[in-house]
Formats: sequence, structure tokens, C-alpha cells
Amino acid sequence: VPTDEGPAITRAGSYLPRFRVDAGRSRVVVRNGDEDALTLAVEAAQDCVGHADVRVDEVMLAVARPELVDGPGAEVVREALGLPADTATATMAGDALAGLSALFAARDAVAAGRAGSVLVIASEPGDGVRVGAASVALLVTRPADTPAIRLLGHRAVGDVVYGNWVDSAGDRHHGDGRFLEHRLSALASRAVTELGPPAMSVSGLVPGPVSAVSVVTGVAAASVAKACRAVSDGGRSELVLADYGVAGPLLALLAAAGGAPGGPFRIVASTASRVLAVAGRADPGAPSWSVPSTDRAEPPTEPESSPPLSLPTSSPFFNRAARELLRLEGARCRDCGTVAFPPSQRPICAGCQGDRFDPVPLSRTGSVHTYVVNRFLPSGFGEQMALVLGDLDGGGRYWAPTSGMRPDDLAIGLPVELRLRRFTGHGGAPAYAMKFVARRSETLG
Amino acid sequence: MRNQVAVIGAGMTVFGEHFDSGLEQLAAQAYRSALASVDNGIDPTDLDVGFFANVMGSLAGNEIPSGATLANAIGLPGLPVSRVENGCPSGSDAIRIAAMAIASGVHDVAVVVGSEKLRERPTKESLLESGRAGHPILSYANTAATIFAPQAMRHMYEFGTTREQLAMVAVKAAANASLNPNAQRRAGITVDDVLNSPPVCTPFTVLDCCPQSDGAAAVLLCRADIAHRFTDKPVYLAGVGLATEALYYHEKTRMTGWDSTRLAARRAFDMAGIGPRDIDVVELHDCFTGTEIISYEDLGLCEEGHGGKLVESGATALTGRIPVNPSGGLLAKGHPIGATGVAQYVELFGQLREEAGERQVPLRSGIALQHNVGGYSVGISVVSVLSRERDGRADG
Repeated sequence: VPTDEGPAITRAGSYLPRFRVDAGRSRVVVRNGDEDALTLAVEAAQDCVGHADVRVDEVMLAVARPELVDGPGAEVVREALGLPADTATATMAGDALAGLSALFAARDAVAAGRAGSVLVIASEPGDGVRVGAASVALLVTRPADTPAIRLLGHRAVGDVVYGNWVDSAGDRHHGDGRFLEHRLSALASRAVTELGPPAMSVSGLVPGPVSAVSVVTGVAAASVAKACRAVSDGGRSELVLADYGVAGPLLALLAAAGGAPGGPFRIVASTASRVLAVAGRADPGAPSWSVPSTDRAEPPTEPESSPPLSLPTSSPFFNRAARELLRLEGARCRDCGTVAFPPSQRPICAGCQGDRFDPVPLSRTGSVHTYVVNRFLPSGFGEQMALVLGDLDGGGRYWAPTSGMRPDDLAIGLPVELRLRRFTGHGGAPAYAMKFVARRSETLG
Repeated sequence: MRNQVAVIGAGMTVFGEHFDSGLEQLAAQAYRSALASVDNGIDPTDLDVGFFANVMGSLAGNEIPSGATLANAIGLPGLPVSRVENGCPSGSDAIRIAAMAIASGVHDVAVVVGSEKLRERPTKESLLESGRAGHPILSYANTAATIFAPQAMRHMYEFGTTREQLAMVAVKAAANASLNPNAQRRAGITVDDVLNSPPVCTPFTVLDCCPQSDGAAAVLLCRADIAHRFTDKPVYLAGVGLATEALYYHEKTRMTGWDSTRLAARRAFDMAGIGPRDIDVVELHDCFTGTEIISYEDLGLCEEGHGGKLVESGATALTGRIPVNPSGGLLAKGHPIGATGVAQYVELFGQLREEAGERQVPLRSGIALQHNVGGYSVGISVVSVLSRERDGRADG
């Protein structure tokens, strides 16, 4: 029975694109050409809180590198999640440990009573070579009776090391590998030693099982794991998680929780200049995550394209349309029930001439009513694009491009669902809206 | 308005690539051609109103034309002229509006000119414009093909319309155009040619799509009761209807046709007091092969779902029971948007006066049907009924 009444992780969600490419000797998870840190963030957040009536007081978005500085990044995520405009948002960035920094800030905010619940999202678009694409979302609240992941302590050790960094132009630089492994092993040893064995970190309140789980991720993870093993009690396994950048440490937390249900765990995450060790404990039934298969290489389907739209994203149009496009929200006539979309262009009801509406989310699942594969596109688009008119479950239709679907596999009747994707980055201001993807159960099956 | 307005003259330019002529030059050429067609002659001072159908503007989109553009192009500054921009039905809508101006008693003789310069821009750039037109998200990546192709795909799925039947529409159009010196695509083609031409947008290949055209067309309209001053063989506007419909795909009631065509046809038929069986010849909006097959059904030329079989049966060929697009249609004559509807009137004016030469169809009732459907996201249709007889019920 949990005795710790402090803030804990009560819900979790994650998203990994299904695409994998081979880079050198390793296989890396890559995003599609129309996905970025914000769309990945929304995917994980919806997996975490999307299907439940969950209160979110604050959104903390962690990215290694913001898509835009001073742009509406976190606001895009908030709006897409259907959260009200007065929801606090914060963005943490700069290194792969930003997700953990956000998690600690969230815990502190809940502990201080400043927020009842904070949604922490770490989103990593990846680099297609070394860092995989992934996103993860954790809801931090006071758990009451909910099974939760509890943070018991952490130690951070840093040093001035230029070992592996990305400059302001986006180019990654590598220092001497042996030197990096040497320094990080030393930092990790110190952090893990100071943190102590997971079972001891709860000050004796809970007797932890002997075999605790430890997950290591980040820069020089194999060497870090070796160093951790050397300073831990012998039998412990140190699972090394592939590098998912800023999403990695939080995925490691969930993987460790899944590996140690009811017991203590430890994660160790590294950048080239800092090592962070975290001790925690997962209640039975607490959120968890398993490392996905990378058996099959599958290249992304969508090209990275940034076609000019009929008007720039800075136009007031996109502000007026933001809510309906990002939430996929229609308007239901109070008098006759007719649902109009897009509400900003349908101020008078076509069913009854009424003008009083309530917002109503459109269904996100459906099947293909008709479709086309356009193979002669204007300049700025890719070579081909499949567009689908979907019959939405529960009524209504929606027209959108597809994402991640092979045009030749399309057929009328195919189950599909709508997900937020990037339509363009033209002019440096991305536009986001819904695209049809194969229904997830279909993809898995 | 039935039979209160007569067409007394009609003319057009060759449709195609007119790199040496601008919007005004094409408009003027069509205007002169229409004036010259008036049997007893007409003086430009007889004109008391004008309408100018044009969609894409001039100077590669960097000039927004107005009525003054046409008035100045035809040397009549001072004439009251309005520009009509209503998508693909702009030309036929301009005629509809001109007819209403005459039937209302405000004007007596009108000139309607449709003129368009699509080849002023390279194909890809022109496509870019259409791909960018409309709602930035709901019309994302759309081109002219993507706004007509989803219906063809659904029609094939629901009714078993075949790819070959689509191709037969293009083959018929090319055959008719080979007899039309004003047509853009005059070379004969086969079903295999259509199937093997480069893909554009499923289910269409290049030869399922109308070309991008420059061109102009003009008609002269007047009060029916004064028509015989100008010609012994006027053609009367027996009925005309315009309809709009739910705009975006997701708002449309069906994806196997266009409600606006059905509604516009009903309005035109009701005004004319006739039905689809009374028609001798049709010029309809075959911007894509699938659009012709679907429009057969929307116009009532056959039952819903039977459009593919209708073209396959040969009924809509020049020698068939109900010839459709004897001019070669948009597919082969060409589709300079603003001029298109006006040019359909030019063809039907010739057919009803039995002046269409090699492509003359046999007349029984002397009634012809004109149809356009389009506009961004396809939200508008115009249908007209033309008759060589004036039944006398209308009085000028």
C-alpha cells in the first residue's frame, strides 16, 4: 500500500512513428515527413489524456530544440488537446534532459499546490541517424487511489565537456569518443553512488524487492551502463534504451516502471556534459511502456515538403480557424442539431437558419468514402498525394490528405482515423491540421 | 423570362495556345466574329449593355479585369459592362444575367464576351494557383482534377462504371473535335491512347482531362420581339437555371454527382416547360471524362448510374440518339474558363440554325441544352434550354 502522498505520475502516453531506417549499423526510428516535435507531442499527449476526462492545469513541453522561438509551439499543443486558453504552458529546451527537468518542475508545482495536475510532454523528432523519433507524456498529480509512478530522489552531476552537441545551425558535432566515454563513466559512477541503491532511497519506508531494475539512456549509454553496474550490487541488469533524445529519459522511466511493478527502479540519463540518475518506485498497475520492436525497416511515406498555401500562416485567418482545425471542432445548431464545419465559415445554420451553436468535436475515426491519388501536383508539393473523403463514425464526413498510407493500398471502405500533421512550414511558420492515417488497430494487425 | 430573349449572333476564336494575343485581343476577335454573324447586320451603337465573363484575370493574374476591360477592348468605352466571375459557369451565367437585363425591360441588345488566357502561365504555375486556391487546409493540394475525380472514383465503385467507359468520352470528344476547326485537340484518339496517357489523378490520365486553353467567345442577345430586325433565324432562350450547392466535399449530400446541376436543370426545364426527352443536342461540361458521364445522369439524359452505359452504347455520339458535345466539348475543343459557357452557346446557335456543317446533328424538336458545373470546390451550375421556335406564349 503506497504511503507516499506526494505528487506522482498517474497517467502516461507515448508515440513512436512506425518508420525505421538503417543508419550505419543501427536501425533508428524516424518520423514521417509531415511530423515534427509538435505533432509528436500531441500524439503522446492524446495517448495519455485524450480518451479520458482528465483535468490538466498546466502543460510543460520539453523539446531539445524548439521548432520556433517565440512562436505558438506550446499553444498549438494546448489547443490541439482541447485545453482552455488560460491553461498555463511552459517550454523547456536545450538538452535531452529537459524532459526530466520538466518532470521535476511539475512535481514541485503539484507539491507546492500551485497546480493540481501538470501534463509533461517530451517530444523528440530525432535526427534520422543517431537519435530516434519518439514522444512521451506524463500526467503528474496527487495520485489518491490511482496506481502511480513515484519519484524518490535524483542526483545530477555535470562537467564542462564538449563531447556531442548541436550548434545553432543545427549541425551535430562529435568530440573524441573515448574521452567522452571516460568522462561520462566517471560522472555516472558518482551520480549513481550518491543516489544509492533504489531500495535504500525510500528511507526505509518501503521494503523494496532485492532485484531492482535500472534503465540507461543517452550519450555513451553502453559505457554509462557499464560504470553503473560496477558501482551497484552485482546481479543488477542495466537495460540500455536506444537514444530517443529528449523523450528518452521519460521513456526509460516508463520502461523501468514496467520492468519493476511494485518495486523500486533507477534510470540514468546522460548528455555529453551531464548525467542524471533518478530513483523511483512503481505501484502495481502503474503506467508503463515496453521497448518497441525494430525488426522491420520501413521508410517514411511523406516527403518533407513546405508548399505555399493560399495565404501565409501569419494571416489572421489561421488564428480564426485555429480552434476548429487543431481540435477538429464543429458547431452543432442548438435549434435543429445540424453540425457545421468549419464553424468560422458557417455562421448561419443550413438546416434551420439558426445562429446559436455549441462546439462539438467531430469523430476522429471512420472509413474511406472516396479518395484520389493526385500524381500531378503544383510546385512545392511532393510527387504524389492521396486525399480521402472519410465517412466519420457517428455521422459527417471529412476531406483530408493521408499520412503514412501507401496510395496503392487505398480502397473505399478502408478504416481510417484523423491525426494532427504538419501541412507546411512555408515562410517558417508551420500550419497544422488533420490528416487521415490507417486506423491504428489496422496497422498493428 | 421564357422565350423573351433571343440569340441573334455568335462567334468565337480558335481555342488553344494564343501566345501572340492578349485577353483584350481575343475578346475583340470573338466580338467581331459575333457581329459578323448577324444575318441582317448590326451596328455597335445598337448595343446598350455588355457582360464580360473572365475568371483568371489578365497579365498572369496581376491585373483584375472589370467591365471596363471589355468595353475598352471592343472600342466602346461608356457602354455599361459588368464582369462576371462565377467559376466555370461564368460564361453561361453572364448570358443568364444579360438575358435578365433584357427581360426586365432595362436593356434591349446585349453583348456577352467570355475571354480567358490560361496559357499565359506555365502549366505548373497555373496548377499552383489552382492548388493554392480556396481554403488553405480544406482545399490543400487540390487541383482542377482533384475537385472532379473523387466523384468519378465513387461512381465507379457504386455503379460499376468502367475505366474504359470514361475513356470513351474522350474518344468521342476527339472525334467530334476533328470536325471543328475551332477546337484545340483535333487528332483522333483511341481508348488505349487514353488509358496509356500519363496519370494525372485517379482515375484520370492526361487524356481524361481538358487542356488549358486560351480563347474567347461572344454572343449577341436581344428582346425576342425585335430579333427579326437582325435575323430571320434567331434562337430563343427558352429556360435557364442557376443553382449553388453545399461547397466543401464533406458538406455535399452525395459524391456521385452534383446537386447544383440537378437543381439548375430542374429550374431551366421548368422555365422552358420541357423535359430531357425533348432535347435534340447537348453541350455539357465535360472538363473531365467522369464529369460528362455523371452529368448525363444529373441532367436526366439517363437514369442514375447508367451514364457509363450511355456513352458505351453510342447514344451520345454525333450520330446517336442524343448527341452530346458535338463541338468536341471542353475535353477536345478546349476550356478557356470564362469563354467556355459562351462557346457552348456558339455551338448550339449553329446547330439549331443547322449551320454546323459536318458535325450538324439531326433536329426533331429544335431544342438544345447547355450546361456548366464548377467553381472552386464545385459549388455552382448553370443549365440553359435553347429553342429555334418561339412558342408565342411570351410577349416582348
